[in-house]
Amino acid sequence: MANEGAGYLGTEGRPGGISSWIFSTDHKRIGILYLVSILSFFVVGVSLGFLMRLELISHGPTIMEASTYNSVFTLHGVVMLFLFIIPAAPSIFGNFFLPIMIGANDVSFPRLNLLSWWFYMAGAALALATLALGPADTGWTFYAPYSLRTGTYVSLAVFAVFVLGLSSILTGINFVTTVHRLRAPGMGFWRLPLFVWAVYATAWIQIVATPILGVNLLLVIAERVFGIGVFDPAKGGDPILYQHLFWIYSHPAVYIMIIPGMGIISEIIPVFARKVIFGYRAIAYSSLGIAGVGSLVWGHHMFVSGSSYTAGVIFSFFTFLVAIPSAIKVFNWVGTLYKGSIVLGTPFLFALAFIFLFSIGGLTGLILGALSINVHLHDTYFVVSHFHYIKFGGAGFAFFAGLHYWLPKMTGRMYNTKVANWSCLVLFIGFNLLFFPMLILGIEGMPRRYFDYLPQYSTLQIVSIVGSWVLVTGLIMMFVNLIRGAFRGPRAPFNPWGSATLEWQIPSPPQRENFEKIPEVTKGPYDFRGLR
Amino acid sequence: MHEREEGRVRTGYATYVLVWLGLMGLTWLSVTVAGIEAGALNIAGPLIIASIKAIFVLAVFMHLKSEHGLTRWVIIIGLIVFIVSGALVFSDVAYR
Amino acid sequence: MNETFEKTALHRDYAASKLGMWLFLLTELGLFFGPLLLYVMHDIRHPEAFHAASSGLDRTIGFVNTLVLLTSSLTAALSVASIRRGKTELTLIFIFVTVTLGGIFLVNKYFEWTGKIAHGIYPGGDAFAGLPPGEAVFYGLYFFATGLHGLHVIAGMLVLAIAAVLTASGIVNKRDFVKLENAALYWHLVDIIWIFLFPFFYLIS
Repeated sequence: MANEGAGYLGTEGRPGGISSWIFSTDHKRIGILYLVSILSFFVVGVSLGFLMRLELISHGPTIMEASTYNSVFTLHGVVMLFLFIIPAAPSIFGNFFLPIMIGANDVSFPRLNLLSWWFYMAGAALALATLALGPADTGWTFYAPYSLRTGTYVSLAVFAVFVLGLSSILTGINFVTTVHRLRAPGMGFWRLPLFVWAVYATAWIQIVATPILGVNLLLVIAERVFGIGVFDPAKGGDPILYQHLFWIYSHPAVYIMIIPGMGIISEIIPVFARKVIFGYRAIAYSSLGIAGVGSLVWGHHMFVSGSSYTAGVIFSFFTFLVAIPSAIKVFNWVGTLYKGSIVLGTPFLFALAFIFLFSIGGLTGLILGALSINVHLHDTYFVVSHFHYIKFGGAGFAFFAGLHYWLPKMTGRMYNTKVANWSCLVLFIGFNLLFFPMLILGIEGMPRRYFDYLPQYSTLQIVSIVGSWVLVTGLIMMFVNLIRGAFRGPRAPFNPWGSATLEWQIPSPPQRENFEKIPEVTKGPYDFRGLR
Repeated sequence: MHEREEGRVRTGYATYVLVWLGLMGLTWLSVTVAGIEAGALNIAGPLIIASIKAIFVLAVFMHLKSEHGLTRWVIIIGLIVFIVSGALVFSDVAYR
Repeated sequence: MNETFEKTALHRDYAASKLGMWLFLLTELGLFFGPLLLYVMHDIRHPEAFHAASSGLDRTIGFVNTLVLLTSSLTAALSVASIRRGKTELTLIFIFVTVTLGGIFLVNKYFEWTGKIAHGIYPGGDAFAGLPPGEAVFYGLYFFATGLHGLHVIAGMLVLAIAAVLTASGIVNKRDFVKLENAALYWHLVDIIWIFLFPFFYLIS
């Protein structure tokens, strides 16, 4: 499998000029483009979050004014959600590995794929331009009627999200078509790796839900520029309808973030347990189930908004229902571990952290889904903590797990596993130190998005702030180790973990054409017989 | 690629013209129905007719009739999502 | 040689192009689902105001425009039918008629809009500010939905024009006509959206 000098990264030591990357239609190079750009914006998002926490270290203005604080949490949300966690797993790993995993040489529409990255960059540029001009102070949700009135650059921020949505839609269309049209001979739907199933389910949400957010954002722009009145109570409009249209997309968007993460975990668990995954079909169906039922629960963001009691009961019911497919996945992962011959590799440690943190996130979600308790906890730190456990502890840790799992394949080099294991531990401790106190603060009544707090919250706030320092230390450790590994690490073998999926059967890094000859698939993705 | 094309049904010009005539007629009908003061029919009539028209355009002009199953599913999945989402928003607005 | 063959096969996957197009059309439906949903919900909240505002629209123009778009949909379908029979000139004529009908639709729309604007009934206009609450929302949605639809008509005309150029230069031909077919699909979708906008704004409420 010696492949020196013929990989997709270019001839040895010379990766080619920038234009051979930003105009490349090779799905692997586009995956790397996404990797570099998405991680850059992640750093921006982390910095904003870090500053927000730091501001709360003492009472009154510490390092910023109240209005700046509003802009910082808005931009933190926009960057982290639309620039990092929504595109992270599908656009980076989906682009790089989905075609290889199904035995194809590229996606169905390679040029559209590149266009999607350009839209992503355009949207990112617009979002960050507001940083210089006067960032929106509405929160990432852009709720009407405040977003219609505030003097900040809301229209520009909203348009940025619209462009990012376009990018997301194109990626979704590409993946659905690719999975249907380009599977290698023998690669039936029931032989698809579970990551592919997850990205496939995600792609459907991207296609069906994103346009509704798109038109909602256009309506906000039309409202701000022309004053069409649909969300403006003064003209007979209804701001609650804004919330409906917003959450029809934005709640399923949570599943756009988490389902591919669950897919990554479903890849890692069987490999490191050296065992066929338990309940393959149940996990595949539960991806579709989450995508389906998850599209019907958005009203639980609006229990106290003034929407009807009837709607509250219906949405609360569906919210409880969506816990079932999520729990099916967790049980199946644990079932896979049972009596496995477990290897404690770095990706596996991240996967374990994921299961723990995601379970906390999911269970606190059920607490919030109950109508009566929600009245007390709505818009408190409890909610903030809950969605960080899902999005960072869940989707984020799964993404890190994926990085540690697949980076040797993407770069052809291995990172230092000892440092990686330590960084995982530091991240885990930092994360819980940062967000667990928030659960308690929320129950005690600390509202979210506040620039200041009452003295009785001081102790837990300080614990949480120290947690943010530990978390950032862990992130620095992890990224320095990964970047060092990517450039100077020792050469990685083609299949360091002994995985059975197709991407590990080709050289690391892959050649320009993934497969010299399209493979004939004869066994399932978790059949480890004959490997290691 | 050729086999796939050969396998597809070719619709005759006359079919298109007939469907077009039907669509024109239905449009006239919907305006007439809306003009009659008949309560609920005023609202339901034009919408049902519009749906029939859309089905004709989808099935014949857009060849959904002869398209293979998956493409039909794309539209069906979309319709289900839109109808269910609409019903859920309705459960709020109508009972507020 | 084998490799080149696969490469070409990848870019000429007819079924993939069609599937991709249909998925894209679904997203367009989603885009118009938003305003129509808002229309229904506001109609529930302000039935009288919507009724009053709706009767202010000219049904005749709406009716004529519906017929114009339906006819253009016919010619778009016929253009695909004739390219499949290898009749390039006939195809070009049909595309030309389609685009012209699209233009007529827009001209009608223009007169309808300017008629309202002349009376100050537009978001930001004098009469608009004085309208009863629900009526303002009706016209707000009317301008938004028909405006967005108008943009789609323009986009469809452009796409069809490009398809015409490709047909004239032989890139779209009897054997490989998926680009024209997809352009026509887009045009039919614009038609379907109007089929629903017409009864909602002009006929019911």
